[in-house]
Amino acid sequence: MYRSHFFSILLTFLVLAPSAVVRGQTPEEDAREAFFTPTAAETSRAFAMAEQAIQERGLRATGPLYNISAELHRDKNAVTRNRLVLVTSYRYSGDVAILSYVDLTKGVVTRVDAISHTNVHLSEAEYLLAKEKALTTPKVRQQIGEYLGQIQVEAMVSHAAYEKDPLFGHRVVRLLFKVPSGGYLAQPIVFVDLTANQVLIDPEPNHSHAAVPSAQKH
Amino acid sequence: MTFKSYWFSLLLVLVAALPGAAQTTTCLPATTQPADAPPDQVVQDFPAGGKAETGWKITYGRAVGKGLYITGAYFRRTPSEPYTQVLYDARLADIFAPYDPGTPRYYDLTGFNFRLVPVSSVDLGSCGSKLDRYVVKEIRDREMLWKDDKQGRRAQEMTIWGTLDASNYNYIMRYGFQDDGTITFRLGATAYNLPGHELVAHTHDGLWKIDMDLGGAKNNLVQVARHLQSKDSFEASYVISPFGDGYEDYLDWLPEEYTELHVINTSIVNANGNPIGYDLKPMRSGSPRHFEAFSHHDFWATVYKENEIIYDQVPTYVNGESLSGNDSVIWYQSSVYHIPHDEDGRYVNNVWQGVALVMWTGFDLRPRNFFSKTPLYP
Repeated sequence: MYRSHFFSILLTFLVLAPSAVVRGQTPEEDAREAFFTPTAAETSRAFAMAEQAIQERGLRATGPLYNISAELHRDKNAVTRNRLVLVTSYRYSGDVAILSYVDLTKGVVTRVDAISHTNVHLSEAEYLLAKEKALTTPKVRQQIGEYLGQIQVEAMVSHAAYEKDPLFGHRVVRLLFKVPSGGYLAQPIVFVDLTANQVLIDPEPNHSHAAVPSAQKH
Repeated sequence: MTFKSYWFSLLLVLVAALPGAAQTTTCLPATTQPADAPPDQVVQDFPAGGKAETGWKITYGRAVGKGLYITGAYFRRTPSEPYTQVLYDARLADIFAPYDPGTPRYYDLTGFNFRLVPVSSVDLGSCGSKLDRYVVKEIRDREMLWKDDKQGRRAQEMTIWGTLDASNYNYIMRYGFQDDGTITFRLGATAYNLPGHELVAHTHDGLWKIDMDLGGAKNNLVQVARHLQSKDSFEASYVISPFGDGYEDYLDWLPEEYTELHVINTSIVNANGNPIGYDLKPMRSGSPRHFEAFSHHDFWATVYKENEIIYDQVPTYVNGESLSGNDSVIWYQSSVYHIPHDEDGRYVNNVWQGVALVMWTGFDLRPRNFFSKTPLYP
């Protein structure tokens, strides 16, 4: 319990940290920014309310669930202009996006939608996990070679659209390696399957539909 | 003429003869914003810096994984009349980039937490200004609005734009608000080809969600305009009919039919008694058709719902509801097909060096019977 509690705090911190960095430094800038994005406190509160609503509606299931993003939301049919936040969460079990509509002014979650096999951002925690898994894989390190230690790792979620694709329904991350001069390494082509906890390396650009599954597993 | 003035004159002639020397950029002045204007609002009258004839009031938003979008647009035909609402919300709901071999298939908005790039001095150029840290505003000349022999008038527009840092790719999201009431929507794809797939052809599909509230959310009617022609006849015609016969539906863009949508407000008429309207005019070089169901058609129209916001789910939103009397939302895909070429870059020791120049796609919203006469004409 202590461990999972600590893990939750860490996840929240990791999700909030990047947005905290881009917020303004002055109260005026913070007030201006609040027109475009929820404040850190609002995000934290919206996440907590969404988590509770997901639990109450029986959508939690087992396995990892990440709070991905909190964004300002509008409802044209709303009578009053309350502070509305849309929380997006991702549940590994079933490859499910959970959208929670949070009314911060009223302090209620007005709606929760669960959508299977759609696209969901990567959380900072998942990015760090994928990066660590890839950069501790010997073959990846070997192919990065002289650039190891200099590269900037970028992540893109890879979405399998075809139900018979072995990666369908998996949380798969493609990693890109940017070199200091500004270009990207053409090789290695690295995917991290976070659902199966595997690193996949494509030997070369594949020209079949099931390109990724044919990659070498490590 | 003294020796000194001779050389000075010669220098002037030489400078004037340099390529481009005669082209000076004229920066147009922005309208002074109201003191109590919220940070997300922009007001611009036209002609810029002159006596106002027409004007826009817009609001915008930006978010991680969403980029830049419009959260309201209001236009006035004369300075003395109130603003009329045109848009409630318009945005790229997603950008889909499938590669020809079948994989990868990236959703560049919903699939990633991509952010807007902070505005740089290069972005601002000589006439741009920062709306905020991520958004540029430009007031600019856009060449001729109309021409009649020796008479004519130059056109102006306000653009607001930002750049999404989509990892190796950058997407420029640009919205133009023009003096004649037109709104332009543009998606520009640029930067590095996908690492490891630098030479693989792919599309960049702009998946737009357009929630027009022309004169308000009520009494908006979406229509389809088609040009009918035949190689077997000298005659041609056009037909305008309700989208989906008045129900949620999809539609394909047909080049032979010049397919476009009209949105009219059936309860507000201009001075001639015609319902005010706007035309959605596609700007495209082809039609994407992928495995994914949402790409099987170019236009969709659905009834507004707070939680219908994901483009790849649009086919599930179409369930037979009546568009008549309901608040409608238009979904539209426009695409560029990118066949890599040497101008995109080259390999240098396993590193791709070079960038794809900007490729544009999008559409325009143009007034139809919104005015009762030619706008900005004597």
